[in-house]
Parts: sequence; structure tokens; C-alpha cells
Amino acid sequence: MNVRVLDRCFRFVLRLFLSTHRGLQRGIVLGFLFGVTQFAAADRSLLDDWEVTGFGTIGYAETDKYDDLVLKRNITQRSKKIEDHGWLLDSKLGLQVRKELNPGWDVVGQIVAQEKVNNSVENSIEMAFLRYQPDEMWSLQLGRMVLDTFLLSDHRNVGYSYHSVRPQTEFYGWIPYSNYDGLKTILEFGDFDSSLRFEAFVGKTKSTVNIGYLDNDTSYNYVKSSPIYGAGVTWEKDELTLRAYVARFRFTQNTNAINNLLEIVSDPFVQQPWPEGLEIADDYAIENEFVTYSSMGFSWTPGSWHVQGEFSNVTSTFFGSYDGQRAYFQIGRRFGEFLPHIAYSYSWDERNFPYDPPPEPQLQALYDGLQDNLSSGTVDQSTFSLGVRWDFASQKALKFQCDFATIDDNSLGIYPTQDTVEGGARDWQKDSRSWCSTTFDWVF
Amino acid sequence: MKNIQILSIILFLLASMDGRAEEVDIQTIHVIVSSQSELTTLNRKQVMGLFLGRARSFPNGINAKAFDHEVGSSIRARFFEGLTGKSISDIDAYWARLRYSGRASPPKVIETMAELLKEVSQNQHAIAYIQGQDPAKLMLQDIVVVHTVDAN
Repeated sequence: MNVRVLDRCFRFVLRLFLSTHRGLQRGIVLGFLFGVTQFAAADRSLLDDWEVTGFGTIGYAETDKYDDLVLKRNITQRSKKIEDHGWLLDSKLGLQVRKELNPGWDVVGQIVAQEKVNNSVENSIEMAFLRYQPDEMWSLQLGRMVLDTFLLSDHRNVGYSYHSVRPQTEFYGWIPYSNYDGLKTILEFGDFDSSLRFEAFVGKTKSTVNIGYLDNDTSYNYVKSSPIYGAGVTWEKDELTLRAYVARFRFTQNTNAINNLLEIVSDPFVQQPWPEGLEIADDYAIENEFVTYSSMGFSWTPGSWHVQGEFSNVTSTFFGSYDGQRAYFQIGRRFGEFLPHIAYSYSWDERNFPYDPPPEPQLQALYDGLQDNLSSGTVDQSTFSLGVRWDFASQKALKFQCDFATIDDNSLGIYPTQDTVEGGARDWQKDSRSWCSTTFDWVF
Repeated sequence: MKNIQILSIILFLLASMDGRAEEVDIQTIHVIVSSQSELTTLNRKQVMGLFLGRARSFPNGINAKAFDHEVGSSIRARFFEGLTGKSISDIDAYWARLRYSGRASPPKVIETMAELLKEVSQNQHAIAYIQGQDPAKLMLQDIVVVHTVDAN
């Protein structure tokens, strides 16, 4: 189907349900009111039978091992904080509540404290949704939900749920969003032999990311997307799970860095001798532009073995966005309490800067700066990981892992370099780095 | 005469209980449902589906609600390891994935055997597992053994 037709369909649906912030709030409030009405009819106390559970990770990594590159888990973390405090990289604490209001109705809430640029309470709420399951097949969810575009996306904060120290950075580290406010519907067919699950969502999301090393306004960038929509299918049979997903996001506004760039190249002193400068900055602009994520993944767990892999493709309608293909493959085997594992992950992004330099030599620094912006959206690197998980007690695990990464030329999309020269290119040359990390993960 | 009959019945019951106790293999774990569910048997895949949250109803269409033993208990580890062939740590990690992504909650825990048996006997939707119990005696409590897991 034509992508524009698909866009129109989804945007029509979104206009109906969630086109404005007020509309979304109205929808959520109406949903909750209906749920509460259902609950009241059941004549049970609101305070009874809440499931209160949680999860946590205390970790330490050698984030300051190198002077020229900082190990980060993802781009929502503050580079300088992570560099100075290695225990912040993977540590987190989550609390979840769930209550069955009535047969077929339940509410779920989850809040997670972790290192990130925006640590407000509102921004720490990962889930707050009402679910209605009218029958065995259908499920409808309204509110804030975790994004589950990729296999580990929806539980990547829960270290206990996977055996590596963190989800593969090449695959998961560049994703700016972890949740969205909106509507999700699930249709599930199956018997005791296999199951087929279709899901589709629509909504909006926001995040603040720290691409680069600095902690100023142009390095902390607020990104907001509306609408976002996607659909996926999951097939499960015995120990095999296959999954395919596609999601599309529209950015609603430019980031601080892009606005700053546009301001500089719009200056008559730049504009007059080098009008192409503004064209380049316009190509970087993200407002009203789209990015599409598509992925395929599998998980196979025969006996004591754990095998998992994913492939994703990212395409966008603007220059300077994250782009290219990512993949990883991991294999582990359990020996009693121990689960040694290895993994290889790769991110391909071979884009070059296609613009000619300015005619005036004094604008060379600006040209270098524009060229450098591409490096902030480039993830062209690979990592080989070796680790072991030790389940030393019930629902408690210790993990140790070493990562050997090769970061290609100007691939600074996740791991920033602190050698940022204002107005000039950072000029990272291909090199290898290794880091070791350890975590204690538990659920309660 | 009547007293002798009563005494004989009591002696017979005591004798049969002792005999049964010797026969009951504590390594065998029984999967139980209420007799109201009208189920007589479940296969391994069906039991796995119900206890791993993949199925929400019995094969006859009645909604199912699984009940579990305490996290960290020996019977829970032996049951899931015997049923799935996987480590209990892998099962706990599996449930962490489902629970904290908001998809599903693990079976509700019932702490004592008496409460568990009461729940299963009175609730046609309930399914649970126990060890060291005589299936014939469970029948007297309207409980049916539908599957047996060898937890050796």
C-alpha cells in the first residue's frame, strides 16, 4: 500500500480519537470513568487486591575508562553524568501496580527511577493504562503504554527479564522513546499448540535526549512525535517466537540544536555568500518529517539454550536522522544457576555528507559544524559481548559482561566524544574500545 | 453391634490411609481442578499453556484461573522444571517479561495447602498443583487430578 495512503488512514483514525491533547485526555478520562463504573457495579472495594510489585538493578560499568568516548546505555542519559558516575549507567528501580477492576477490566501503572535527562515524575511514568478484554481474543488498552516495537522494547528496563547486562546498544541505544500515550488494540488467535497475535497502536510520545557530550541547550534536545502508529504480528509455538513490527513517527517540532543551526545559517552574513547553508540546515530539520522503524525478530529456547536475534531497518524523510540497518544475534546456555552467553550486534549506516563546502574559506568552520551534525545521528559500529548470568537466589541474579566495540568513522550517535570543538567537526576515526560491566538484578 | 461396625469402618479407613501413604510418591506433582469444571484430563501442552499465561480457558471453553505456590518454594521449582524442562530462574525471567511489560500477571499465589484445596474444590475456573496427595481422597473433596508431573 502507498505510504501516503497509509499515513492518511492512520491520521484519520488519530483525528477521530487522539488528534489533540484535550481529545486524548478526554478519551482517557472517559475510559477510566467507564472502567470505574464497571468496577462499582462489581461491589468491591477500590483499595482491595492491588498487586504491588517491582524490579530493580544496581550496576557499575567502566564509563570513564577512556578520555575520548563515553559508554552509554541509550541517548536519553546525560553523557557527563554517566561518565562521572559509572553506577548510573544501568541502575534503576521500578514499581508497578495492577488491579483487576472487574472480569475483563484491569488497570496497570508503572513508574521507573533511572538516569535520564528529564527525570520528572510525569516523565518517569512508563505505564498508566486501562485495559478491557471483552473476550478471549480482543484486548483494548487506553492510556500510557510501553513501546514494543522491538523484542526487548517493552521490558528493557527490567534487567532480571533478560540475561545480558543491557539490551544490545547498537540495536536499542539510539531509540529516543520508551512509551506513548494512546490507544492499542490486540487480537489474539490460538490454541494450546500455537498462538498468533496481531496488535496495532496509535498515539503520541515525547522524550529529551542528550546527543553529544555537552550539557547545554543545544545538546539536550526535546523531541516530540505525533502521530505515532504501528502494527505488528507475533507467532508463538512451543519454544519459538517470531515477530514482525512496523512503526511510523512524525516529529512535531525541531530540536534546539536544529533551531540553533537554522538561526546561524539564516544570518545575512552567511546567507549572502553561501545560500546552500540554509538548504543544508533545512535538510536537517525534523519538523513534520517522518521516521519509519521496521523489524523482524525471533527467540528460540530449546531446553537449556537461549537463542535470539533481530533485524531492523530505519528510514526517514529527512537528512541527519538515525538511519540504516541494525541486527544482533545472541546465544546462551544455562548450566544450573549459571548462564554464559555471547552476542554480536551491528549497526550499519554508511551515509556520507553530500554537500559541497562553501566558497568562502572563513565559512569552513560552519561547514565543519554542519558536517559534524551528521555524526550525532550516525551509528555505524559493532560490538562483541561475552557475559555470564548467575541466578544465585530466587528472583535475584548477578551479571558480569565485557563488550568489545568497534566504532567506525564519525559514528557518534550513541557514545559521545568529549573532544567537541565548538563550530568544528569532531573527526572521530575508526577505533575499538572495550568495557566491562556488572549488575545485580532482582524482582519483588 | 453398631459400635463394632463403626469401629471396623474407622480401623479400615486408618489402615487404608496408612497403606496409601506408603504408596504416594512425594516426587509426583498432581495438577488439580474442580470436579465442576467437568475436566478429566489435560495434556502437558495444555497445562503449560494455562500456567504460563498463554491460554486463558480450559479446552472445554470454561475460563481458567491458575493458582501457584510461593515464589522460592521447592514445589514451585520442581513443578515448573518438571513441566517445562527449564530452570525456575528462566520461568521467573519469563514472567518478569510478561508482568512488567503489562501483558499478563503470573498465577495468584495461595500460601497454605488448605486454602488451595478449598479454592480448587469450590471454583470451577481454578487450576493448581499439589504433591503427596492421594487422588482418590481428593475426589472426596470434589477435586480431580487432570495431569501428573514427574518432578524427580
